[in-house]
Amino acid sequence: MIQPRKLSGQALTLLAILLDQPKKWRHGYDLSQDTGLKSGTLYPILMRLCERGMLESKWQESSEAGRPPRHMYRLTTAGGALARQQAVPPSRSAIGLTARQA
Amino acid sequence: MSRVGSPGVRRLAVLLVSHAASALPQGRGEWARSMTSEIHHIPESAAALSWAFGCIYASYTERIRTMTHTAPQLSRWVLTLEMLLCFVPLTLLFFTIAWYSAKFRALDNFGYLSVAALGPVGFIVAFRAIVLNRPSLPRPAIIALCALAIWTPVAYTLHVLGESGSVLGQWREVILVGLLPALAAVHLVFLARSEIKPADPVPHELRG
Repeated sequence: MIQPRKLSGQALTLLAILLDQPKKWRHGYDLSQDTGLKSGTLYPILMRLCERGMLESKWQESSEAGRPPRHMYRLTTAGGALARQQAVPPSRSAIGLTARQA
Repeated sequence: MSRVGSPGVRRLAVLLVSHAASALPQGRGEWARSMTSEIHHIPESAAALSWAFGCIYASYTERIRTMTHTAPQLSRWVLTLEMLLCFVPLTLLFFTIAWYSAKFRALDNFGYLSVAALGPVGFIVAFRAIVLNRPSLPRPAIIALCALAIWTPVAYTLHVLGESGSVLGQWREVILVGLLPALAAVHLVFLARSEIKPADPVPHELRG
């Protein structure tokens, strides 16, 4: 049987943060601040999760004039299920603990 | 939202993110746009610069990941040129020794023939890979090619050392007869094992 690829600690952290408000659309910088992940780590994870259908994305016009639209993300149903299955409490994930360690 | 920090630092951050966006592999256009738009929403210049460096790291990582997952293909013409350059001198040497041995009935030249055998053998394998598009080889052929690739440079270098005591005076011959054919043979073994076929010089979609 093919085992699904294990998610990294950072991906689990991101899922946990998104699971806090699963219906809310979040932008990259916002997620970076909440998770503590730098853009160099965050973007590859976002790409991977979107590819696997765990996240959905949309473009939202900026409320501020002259600013470009922002890319927003939120969990899909499958992403929500995965996040609940591998849930890491945000308070613990913030200090770098993964589901396996918890 | 007002912007905080040096405008110069912000301009640098925007430049870096533009570079990061252009470095992303094909098919990541939306992510390139995501990076370039997000930088305009970060209030602090220092944070924007940090974000930009992260984007460069993410882009390079993606680029490298795509490269390593793509099968490297060699142009048929480049491979032909490489094989001609590497095997022609040794093949000429092989046939010269064979002709000499047959004409003067010098049957003691078997050792020399074995050293030069990599030339015609390599030619046959290269012909198979390039013209017949069949780079794969059976295991015994791979072992034989590897053995010849070791034997030829070692034996030729020892021969040169035995005759003149140093390879420095004949380094061109050592490279031409010993080293280049061995490297080409190793390349053929690599192609055989990885099953990479030489790429056509003209892509299929451009053909009439």
